[in-house]
Amino acid sequence: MMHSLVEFVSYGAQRGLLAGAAMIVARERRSEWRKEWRGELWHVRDETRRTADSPLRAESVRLKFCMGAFADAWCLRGRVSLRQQLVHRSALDCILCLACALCVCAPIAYNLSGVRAEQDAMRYRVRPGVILIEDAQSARLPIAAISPKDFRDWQSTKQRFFDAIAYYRSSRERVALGGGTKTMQIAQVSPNLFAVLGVPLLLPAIPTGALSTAPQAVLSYKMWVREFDADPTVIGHVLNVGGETLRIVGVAPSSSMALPGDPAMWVLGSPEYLGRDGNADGFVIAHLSTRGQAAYDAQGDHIPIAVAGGDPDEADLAGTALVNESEGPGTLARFALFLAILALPAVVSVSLGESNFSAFRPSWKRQCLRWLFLAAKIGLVIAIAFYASLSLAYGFTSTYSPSAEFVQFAAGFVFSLLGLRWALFDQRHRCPVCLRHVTCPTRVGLASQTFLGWNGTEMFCAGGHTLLHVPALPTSWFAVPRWVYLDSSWGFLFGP
Amino acid sequence: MAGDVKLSHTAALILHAINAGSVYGFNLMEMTGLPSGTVYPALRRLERDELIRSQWERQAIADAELRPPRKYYKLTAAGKSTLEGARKRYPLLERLIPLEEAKTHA
Repeated sequence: MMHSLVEFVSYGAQRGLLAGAAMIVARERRSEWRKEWRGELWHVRDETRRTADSPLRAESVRLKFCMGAFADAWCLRGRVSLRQQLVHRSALDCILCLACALCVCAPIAYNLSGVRAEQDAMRYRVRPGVILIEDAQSARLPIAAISPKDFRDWQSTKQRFFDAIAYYRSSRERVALGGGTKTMQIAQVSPNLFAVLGVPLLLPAIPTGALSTAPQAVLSYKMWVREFDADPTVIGHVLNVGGETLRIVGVAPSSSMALPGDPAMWVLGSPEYLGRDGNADGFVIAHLSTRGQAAYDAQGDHIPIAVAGGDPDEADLAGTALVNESEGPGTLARFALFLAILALPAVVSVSLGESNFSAFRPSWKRQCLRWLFLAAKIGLVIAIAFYASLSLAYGFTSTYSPSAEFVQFAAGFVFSLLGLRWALFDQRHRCPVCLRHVTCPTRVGLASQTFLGWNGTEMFCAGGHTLLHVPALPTSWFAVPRWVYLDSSWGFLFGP
Repeated sequence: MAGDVKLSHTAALILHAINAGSVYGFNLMEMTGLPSGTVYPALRRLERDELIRSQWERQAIADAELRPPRKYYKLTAAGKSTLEGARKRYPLLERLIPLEEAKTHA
């Protein structure tokens, strides 16, 4: 019973394979070839049933027979008409090929976790008016200058220039993970940090505001992906950080905010908790009030901050705006495209630059179609360059990173430049009448004829509409490729 | 003209097997030991070059033997002269499939 069921299923699958192979065969021969294959399959099954030493061996022979049908299906159609299509490829073929490439690139790019992380980085941006308060002597790297005690004093004082402040301090700690221990950059922050930044948590299962006695941890997106395989049930798990037990209460989104240290985890603690290890300095992150914003706008991007009661001319703190480093994939791609367009004249002649020997002009409809074809080709090439560069940049990283952005930008530039070059080059070799690629390049003339006649390459349209003359040596009277339109009397030379 | 056609060894082997008489695809695979992916494309090309011709057997015969109808292949006159040329080119063809054996299979 079981054996006959397997036979029935395998026979159905083999007939399905033959039907699939038949789809490759030209329509007029399809039914006959399928009939022949099915007849032959009967013989193969009959023979293998009698002679094969095991059912598996029999199925293997039958499968090989069915795969042979594909080779058979390709033998005439594949070798003849495919070659013709490639040589005389039409505008539609070209657009379809590009559309297929786009259909491959776009889903790949959208399914990469790094691309999703970069989209998150764009979505979860630090709200405007947030500044990082640091040592006034900071040059390239921010220098921590505020102790937890100072922060507690600031909290207890009414602020005129800020409407919300949070504390931030980072250090390297040992974190116990999966049986091992890793040293990571950990940020100790006040619980309201994410509220001040205006960045919501990705997985806020436990309200972070309600601080229990045990400190709580928020994972960075990078750590969540790397160490926990982006497990959404990670909330509530317990971690040991620097000998202390922490409960995970959320996951921060992939973000491009330029906070010092690039922490793997944020430990939320009360000011008292933050001060337990002495008065190691940190930073204050503040959101400017209306008055503070006015003062900031008047000062520029580096505002000196003096503690209340101190001398404003001797301020030892300064505030700088927290900016989002990410420009977003769209902005980068647009800039890369802009640069590629600027560089294009260096690699190819931008003008389609062809002249016409005869008085014949294609109809305006044909000319519009030609320009539409070029526009569609360029649009598709740009889209492919965008998705291909995203796939390349984020194929090897699962989170947002500035280096991936650089790779995306560089790849976007190169792909756009090469793509645009190809689009223009291809357009110059397409018959203005039927948009088919001209073919059969033939050398015409001798180099010595350059000044009295011309020498170069002649190609013709397989539809018999045009000849394309490309000079070997551009001269003042023959500088650009020249189309020669053929009338219907030439038709007998070309196929139907 | 047909006699000038240069056949590959495989195509010549298939042509030689067909020469035994009316044969069909599976039969050829058995005689030559070649897989379907080689035999069928070769048959298509030989038929396209008019070296062989094919003919479906009558449904009544197939029904009587409780099997699907077969498509038989036969050599054309051009095929025969091409095969003569191929035999000179590949003298071991006869040894690979002796004519008697081929006739038995057919």
